[in-house]
Formats: sequence, structure tokens, C-alpha cells
Amino acid sequence: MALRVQFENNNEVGVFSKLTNKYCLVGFGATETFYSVFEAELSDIIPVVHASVADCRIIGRLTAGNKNGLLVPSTTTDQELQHLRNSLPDEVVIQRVEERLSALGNVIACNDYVALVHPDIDQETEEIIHDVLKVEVFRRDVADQHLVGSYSVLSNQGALVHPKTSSQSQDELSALLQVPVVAGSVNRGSDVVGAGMVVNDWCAFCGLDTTSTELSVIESIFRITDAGPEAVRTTMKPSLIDTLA
Amino acid sequence: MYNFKKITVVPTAADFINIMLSKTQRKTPTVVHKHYKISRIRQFYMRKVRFTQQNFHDRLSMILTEFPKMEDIHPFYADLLNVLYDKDHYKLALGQINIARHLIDKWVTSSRVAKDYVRLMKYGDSLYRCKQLKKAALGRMVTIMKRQASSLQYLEHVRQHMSRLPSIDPNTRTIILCGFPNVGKSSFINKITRADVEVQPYSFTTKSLYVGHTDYKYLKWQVIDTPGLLDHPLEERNTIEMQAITALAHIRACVLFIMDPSGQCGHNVEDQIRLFESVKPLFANKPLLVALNKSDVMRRSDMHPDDESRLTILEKEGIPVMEMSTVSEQGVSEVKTEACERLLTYRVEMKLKGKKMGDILNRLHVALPKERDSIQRPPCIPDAVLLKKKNKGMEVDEEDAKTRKLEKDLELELGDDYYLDLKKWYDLPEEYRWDILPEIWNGHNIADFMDPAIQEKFQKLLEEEEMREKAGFYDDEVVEEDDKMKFIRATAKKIREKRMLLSNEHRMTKTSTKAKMPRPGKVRDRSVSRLRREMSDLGVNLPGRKRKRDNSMDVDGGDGFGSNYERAARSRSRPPLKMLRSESVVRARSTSVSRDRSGLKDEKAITKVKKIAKKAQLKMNRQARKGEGDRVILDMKPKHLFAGKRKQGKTDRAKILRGMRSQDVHKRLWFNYASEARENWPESREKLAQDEEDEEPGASDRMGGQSQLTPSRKRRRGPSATHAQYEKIAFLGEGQFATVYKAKHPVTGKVVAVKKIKIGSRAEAEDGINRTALREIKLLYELNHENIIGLLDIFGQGSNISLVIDFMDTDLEVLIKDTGMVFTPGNVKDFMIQTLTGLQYLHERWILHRDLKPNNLLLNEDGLLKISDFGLAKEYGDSSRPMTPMVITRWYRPPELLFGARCYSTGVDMWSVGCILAELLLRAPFFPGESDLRQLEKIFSVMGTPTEEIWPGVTQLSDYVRFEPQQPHRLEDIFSAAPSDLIYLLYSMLTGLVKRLEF
Repeated sequence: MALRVQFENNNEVGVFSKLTNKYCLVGFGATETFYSVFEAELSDIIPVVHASVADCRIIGRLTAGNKNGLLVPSTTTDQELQHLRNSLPDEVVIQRVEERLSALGNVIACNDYVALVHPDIDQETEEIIHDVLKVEVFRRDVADQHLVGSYSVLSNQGALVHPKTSSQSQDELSALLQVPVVAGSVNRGSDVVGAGMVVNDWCAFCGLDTTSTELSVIESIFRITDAGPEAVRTTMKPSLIDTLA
Repeated sequence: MYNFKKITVVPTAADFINIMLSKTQRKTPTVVHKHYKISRIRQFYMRKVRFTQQNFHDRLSMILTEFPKMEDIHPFYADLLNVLYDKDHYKLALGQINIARHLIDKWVTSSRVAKDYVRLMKYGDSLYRCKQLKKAALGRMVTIMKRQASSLQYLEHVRQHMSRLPSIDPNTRTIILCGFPNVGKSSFINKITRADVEVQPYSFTTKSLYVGHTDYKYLKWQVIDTPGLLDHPLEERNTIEMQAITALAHIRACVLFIMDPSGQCGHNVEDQIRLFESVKPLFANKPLLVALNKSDVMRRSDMHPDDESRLTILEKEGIPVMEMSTVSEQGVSEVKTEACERLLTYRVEMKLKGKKMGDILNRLHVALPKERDSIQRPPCIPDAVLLKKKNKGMEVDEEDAKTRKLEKDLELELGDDYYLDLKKWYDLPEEYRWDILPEIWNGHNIADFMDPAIQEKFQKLLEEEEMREKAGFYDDEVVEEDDKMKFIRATAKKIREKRMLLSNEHRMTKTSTKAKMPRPGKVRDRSVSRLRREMSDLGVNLPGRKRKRDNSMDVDGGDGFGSNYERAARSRSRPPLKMLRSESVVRARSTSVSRDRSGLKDEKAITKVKKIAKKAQLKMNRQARKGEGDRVILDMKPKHLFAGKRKQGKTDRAKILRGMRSQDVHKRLWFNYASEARENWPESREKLAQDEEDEEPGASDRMGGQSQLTPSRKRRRGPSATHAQYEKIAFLGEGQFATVYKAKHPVTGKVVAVKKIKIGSRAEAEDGINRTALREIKLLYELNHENIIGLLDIFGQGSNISLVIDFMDTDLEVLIKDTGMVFTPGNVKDFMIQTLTGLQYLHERWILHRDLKPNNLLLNEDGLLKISDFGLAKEYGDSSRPMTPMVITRWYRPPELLFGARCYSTGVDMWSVGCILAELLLRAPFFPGESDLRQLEKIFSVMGTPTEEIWPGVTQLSDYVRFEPQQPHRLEDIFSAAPSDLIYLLYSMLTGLVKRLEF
């Protein structure tokens, strides 16, 4: 089920939350409204945890993770790390990464098997990603953007990338990621899809501004409803043409 | 999209004028006077005219810009506005407003109101004329606006109507419903959208366009309900119908032509087909759909064959005809779907032909993965999710009950009491889930020591320890300390303590800001013999015997140079070959001459020089000036400082006032002394009377003190003259504040001491006479006792004051130091009795002397003792009133003052007397401390160190320092020759004080 949520009147929910198949991190808000949306949807399946990194709420952009592990930047305090350790299941490995590009969420896009990373990332960090998250790591751009984490969003069932990604590079990405890839937007045309939404293998959360067309693309590419990714180029084609062109 | 709701209200002409004029009144200056400079008056009115004009301009411009221009808006709206408000009228009204703006502005040549009047204003030569010009200018503007009344009114109507127009987007996906009145168009829109259009059984219920929105295929669709059309030519159509025509003509939409086959609308099928045909040109290039409504009343199959055939013709043309019923909702959604589908297909076809298509092709592409290896990458969906999905269809109440309470609900429920418990869902056992883990402990960051294997390691360590214990690893380590070690430890502790005390004391001495007092009779405290003695006391025998002074030293001693000095055993210098003959060198060293005598041969020369100096000063004295540099301000009481209020920062001259006040005190004092003196010396009265006659009137007050006190004076001379009346016999000494001479009264021949108070520098003199001197005068004046020094006379001389006191031959200090004199116990008792009698007299009058010492106990030939020097004396009463502890010469100062006590009374004087008594017995100072700390040490070495038990509160004193504990000595042992009664007296004065303080 794809849900529309807002964090304190802000549509960039991917900034304030991190969703994987084994846990969900949510930034501290002034009220618990945002948290409770995740809580209601997920808490009986996976832990939904309040988190901060270096006293910041933008955990979605600072951390990267999947069901195997969680990478946090070097600025994370010991207390925050301890809190995460206490909250997450034991099989999830938490690792602090000494990386110059400390907004790990912006430079790493990953699912449980593969990860796209910023081309300039440290060799050491790449190894850590490989070891902790247990993924194959590819240094790649998405639509000429280095910040792959911001401009793409992956699950084990599909990937949504920057709306300007060419068909050819979509094919390449699909071959790398081994999931169907589609170019699309969230939040009424926002191209920072990574910041605009979070997704795992069975549910997705996007900003409140997301149009129903965008939402239906998301739902089909990530197989959240029964309509498979093919629907984008079959049943939804006229609607897409009419809205986009 | 156009937003006609944003247009500002257009006021009526009257309101418009009121607004403008009151704005001018509010926002321009309102006060002007005719005596102002004309340029200022002109400027005042010009500003009003300009301001009004600018306001008119702004407001009118706003109207012009806010109302949409027919040419600029979408043709649909342009046409709609034309239909509703008549394009010509609309344009005319705006044009009128534009002209009015120009008229008021300065640019139209025919009548430039503002510019003309502003120009005319330059010739206005009075306030009245300027005002009239302003009035005329504003009047013209108002008249122009009044003419626009109808235009403004029309525009306001238009505005109100426009704001109620539906916001129709002419470019989006739109379905337009049209057909005869009463065929069910509004019912249809109500069914598929939430527009809630009024439905009534009569025609033309819908009088304007209505808009609703519906969803289909993730897209939003705009549905426009138009008023019903009748079948007549375009020219005859009314405004209501024309709105529908406008919408049909300009909006590229799917047209849904609704027909009523039942004829309930009042028109048969034939009419409706005819209407369809007549408006058909408007449907060109648009997806078209005919809906047969009211199928619940008449189905298509039940229709008349003729009508049916007409519909078939339509179908043949490719126009689908569908049945529906807005009452039973049968076929409604099919019609909607069909309409939407047709429109979508049409739009997609159009767009595929467009240029934009290339840009979005990638969005329509789904890249499906090509297998690159054989690894399976299945999604990771927990079973719980799948189960949940499965159960979604079924209503499971149990599960709902199980779901946890959301934080949001908790927050709402608890309100301000809510706090976010982060530990609630920790993945930890319940018993230590809420344990508090400190971040920093003992300066260590806990996290740095975090080790997942710590428990195991700890266990391992424990085991290892146990094994060691069993193996007897620790058994032989117990060592008994022997006595020697214990002794060493105890000694080391003592040494450490002593070192601490010493360093403490040293620090105290070093940090003391008090002046270092020289020790006149300082005994050499370091010597070989002392070292030998002390060392032998400690049990160390120094090798060698005391060395005799060897012969060579004797030779040195006999050479005539300082033979009494023992040379240090350094390198011996050769004795000088020749004897130094200069006698004057010795003289120069032995006597130091005060600076006012240096270079003068004898007493005569000194007197002469002084006389010359005085004469030189005469002129200045006459002018009441100290010297050339004395530029004293005579106006000591400036009016502005005494009359009325003073503001802040005007009190800098308060100092002067203070000085004056104290001078007033002196004046009064002098006067009092003078009158006293008059009584005491009756023989001078005649003279006084004569002197008074000599004086100019008015001057008597100031000079009174001097003149009255000088009986032998023939006529008034300079202020210094008085001093000369006492014949100076000898210089006796000099103190901090005064110089003392021995003098003789010329008349009585009585020998007295004259104490001349030094006035000090100008800065000090500004505050009046020295406080110490003043205190002394004040106290002495009140005192009259045999054993207290008597004040005989007092006179002023220039700015100086001289006190005439009893002449005493010597003081006790001299006697004590004179080792040739032997004090019998009777002598000592005599001194004590006299001192204590005098002190009793003082204490009975609530006066503390606070500076008792042998030096201040004066004696004359007859053995009469008088207490003198009242410079530090003070009246006391309330013992809780704090006084300064910095009094009494140190050797005679009691320990409580040394510790900084501020509340004390007569006890301090008693201690001093005790010290004096001891000194009389010892013939040397009893407690000669070099510093405050040494003083205390000396006291405590005799009296024992006080502790909190014997002197409660001692540790709380402000300057308290801990001293090494010492036991008191018996005074009998120290004063072995003294009779027991004196010892008792000594005890009572030294320890009695201690007892009083519960020492």
C-alpha cells in the first residue's frame, strides 16, 4: 500500500525517514503524527524507531541501509548509535563510516542485493558497503547526477529513477540492478525521488503532493498493488501521455 | 488559470473621494502657521496636492491593472465576459477610469490638474493663497472622480459577478453537457461529480455555467454543466443560452449531448435532433456522445420508429448513442466512461502528433532486467505482511484489538504530560530496558569502552583470579611494617605538615601589602653560637670549638676605621696606607639636616631666610592665595548648583561643597575654642576688645579665632603673625600629620608644646583639615583629666591649624630605653596607675584610644603621666558597629585585631597596657613582631595557640591563619623578678582579655 504523508508540512518524506525490509527509522518531529503513520502501518511487522544522526532529523539523507545492515556517518554520536543498536534487531549490523561524503543516503542507493554509489566515494567505504550491507556495489550516475541516493529509489522488486533518465540508461540500470526500472517523479513533478519517498518490498510512503498518476506508477513499479511494472506502458500509457505532454 | 476573485473592491465615487481625502489628511502634516517662511508654507501645500494626486493615480492604476484585458485572456473567458457584461460597456468603463487618471495626473496637456496647481503654488505669496490653491486642486480632482460615478459602479458590479464565476480551466480534460432545458443535464453532473447543482422540474433552473470534477484513470476531469439551449437562431439567443454556446465554441472538450426521448422536457425527439443539427457546427473536431436520458421512463426500444430512425442516422455518422437514467443511475457510469475514454483517446492522439512527445518517451519506458547471472534475488516480504494481505478482505476484530496504541493517540490523550519514551520498544529484556547508561563516567566516554565480549572477558578474569588465589599467589605478600618504618612514616608526616605551615606563612608574609616596619633594636638572630646550640638541642654535635677572634682581626680593629665592626671572614683587604683626614665626611654622615635648613650657617640665617620667605608670601596672602598657581574659584556656591533641581551628571562639583561644609565645621570649632580660651585667659580680655575695634566690620567672623587669641598683638598683621606670639624654644619632633615645637607663652611664661597640623597638598586640603587632626581636636576638646594631655589653645595660621598642648618633658619609651634608669616595682605601679586612671576616664566617656604605646605616654619632671596622641581614638558604643582592625601599633596590637576582628571594644586598649606593663618589666618590647604573622606567632609562643575550643569563633575571623599548636608559658617563668601582684595584673590584662573573648 502506498501512502501519502507529510513531515511537518514538508513533502520530502525520504529525508526524514528510512525504510527497509527489516526496520524503519523516523526522524524526531515536534509531534508524533508523522511517526504514527509509519507506526500504524509497520509496527506489528518491523521495528519503527525514532532516530537522529548528529542531532539532525534528516536521517533519510544521512544513513544508508538494507535488511542486512545500516551505515551511519562518522558524525553520529555514541548515544545515537547505542539507541539504534538497542532498537534494531540483532541481525542488522550497524556500522559507522568515515566517509567524506557524509550524507550517505544521498550517495548510496541500495536494495538487499545491489547498491548504486556515488562515483567519488572512498574505496574503503565501498568495501564497507559490500561487507556490511552484503550487496554488489556499482559506481554509477543516474541521469548525469552523481547523487544516486537522491535521484533514485530501489526495492527488491523495482526501481524509480530521475524523470530525465534516458531509456538506454534505464536499460543499463535494470541490467545492473536486476529489477524493473522506470523513470518517474514524486510530489507533483519533483525529480528528487529518493528524497520524496521511501519504499520497501511491500509498502511505500510518498509526499502528500504526489499525484495519483505518480502514485500509480510507484505502486506498479514496486509491485505494491497487483498491477506489475508492465502496467506503466500499457494501461497507464494514455493517462501518462495526457498528464506529461 | 485566471483568478477573478482577487480583484479589489471598487468603491463608489463618494467613498472613493472620502478615502482619498482622509488619507491625505492622515498621512501628510497638518500643522502650518502663517508666520512660517513662505517656502515652507508652499512646500506644505504642494506636498498635500502631490500626495493626493499620487494616491488617486495609484488607486486608479490598481483598478486598471486588476480588471482583465479582453485581449489578454483566453477567448473562452473573453467571450464569456462579452456575453455577460457587454464588451463595449466594459471597455468604455475602464477607458473612462484611464482618462480620469490622466486628468488627475500631469501628463495630459489639456488639463494637468496636479502639475498646474503645483506650478501655481510657486506663486502663492501667503498661507491663505496657498491654501486656496490646494483647495482648488483637490476640488478639481474630486470633481473628476465624481464624474466617474457610473463607471465605478458598473465595474463594482462586474467585479462581484466575476468573483462568482466558476473557475474553469479551458485547457484541461473537460466534458461539456448540453441539450434542451430539463433533459437531465444537472442531474447527470450531480451523479458523477460533487458539484451539487440545483435541480428543479422547470426549465432554465441552471442559468449559468457550473463546474464539477470527477476522477477517471488517475486523472481529474472537469465537467461543465451548461444552461439549456432552445432551438432558435444565434441572434435570438439570450444571455443564459449564450454562455452555453461560448463554452461549446471555445473549450476543446468532449461534448455530451443529452436528449430526453420521453419528451417530458416539453420537446419531442424531433425538436431535439433539430437542435442537435443546428448547434452541430460547434461540435466540430470534438469527441461527441449522445446520451438518451430517462431510460427508466422510456427505453430506446420503446421509442417511436421515426425517432428511432433519426437516432440510427446519428449512429451511422459515428456518433455513439447511449442510454442512461439519472434516476436509477443505470448507464450513468458507462456514459461517463465512454465520454472520458473518447476524450482521452482524442487528446492522446493530438498529443502524439505534438512536439513534446519526444521528451516523455523515457517516462513510458519500463526497463525490464536481463539476467546477468544465476543469483536469485527474491523480494524479502515477511510472512506477517502476506498474512495481513490475505486477511484484508475478512474483517478480523481480534487483530484490530491487538494493534498497539499509537504514539499520536497517546500524545493526544496525555497532552502536556506526554513524553516520548524511546526505550519502550528497545530490543532488550524487560528488566534492563529502562536502565540509565551514563554518557560519561569518571571522565571516560563509556562508548569507547564498550565491548560486546565484555561479560566473557570478565568471567575469564574472575576465573584466573580464583586460580591464582588457589595457587597461593597472594599469600606471601603480607608484610608487617616494623617500628622503624612506622617511625619514619610519622616523622615524614610531621615534616610534611611543617613544610606546609612554613610555606603557608611565607606566602602570607609575601602577599602582605602592609609597609615593612624597620626593627630598630633588631637582635642578630643568626649566629654560630645559636646554630651550635640549636643543633646540640637536636642532638647533633658540630665539630670544632668556638673560634677565637684571631690576631689579624685585632689589627684590623685597631686601624681607626669602624673598629667596632667585625668583618666577615671574606678576603682580607689591605689596610689603607694613609689616614683619611677629612672630618667633614664623618659629620656629614652623622647628622642629616632638614631641607629647609640645609646650606644655612646658623640659627640666625635660618630665621632670616624664613622671614624673607614669609615676606615674599605676603602679597599672595593678602589676596588669600597660596601662590601664583592658586587660581581658586571664589564663587564657591554657584547659583545653579543650589537653586532648583539638578539633572544627572551635574554633581561633579559636589566635592567642593563637601569641602566647604567641612570648612564650616572648622570655623565653628575655632570659634568655640576661642570663646573658651577667652574665659580661661581673663587677662587678655581688654586687649581683645581693642582688637575687635581695629577690625573692619564683617571680617571678624573669619579672623576671630586668630585675633582673639593673641593678646599681645598690637595691630593686625598677616595670618602667620599669631604663631610668632608663642615664642618658639625648640623643635621637638615631627609626626605624620604634625610638627611639634616647644614654645613659651610670652605673657604667662608657661612652657607649652605647639603642634602644627600639616595641611598637606592642595588635593588633601580641598577636603578640609586632616581627619586625624580633626578627630584629635574634637576629642581633646571634650577631655579634661590629669592623666590626659590637655588642650590649652588652638589657633589658625593661613590654612594651618596649630594646637597648643601641655608641654611634657619626655615619654615612657625614652625611659624604658634608658638602661641607666632602674624601675622599682613602685615606679612601674605608678606608671600603671596613672595610665589606667587616664584610660578609665577615657573608657567611661566611651572613647577608645586605639594607639597606646610607651611613646604616647608622656611624662614630665614631676612624674606626671599623660596619655597623648588621639589621632586614632574613636568613640564607641554599640559593639556591633564594625570598626577597622587596622589600628594600634603592631607590637601592642591584640590577636583579635591581627585576625581581622571588626567588633571590639575596651579590651584592645587593655591588651596594649598589658604589653606596656610587660615592656616596663622586661625593659624591651614584649611581642616585637616584624610582620602581622610573626606578631601572632610571638603572641602564641607565649600565650599558647588558640583553638576553636578555647576561643570559639576564632577560625571564622576574616584573616584567620592556622598556626602550629603551642602550649602557653607561665608568665611567672618569664618575669621571674616581678612581684606576684604585677604578674596578676599582667595576667588579668593579657589573659583577662582572652577570657573576655573566651580565648
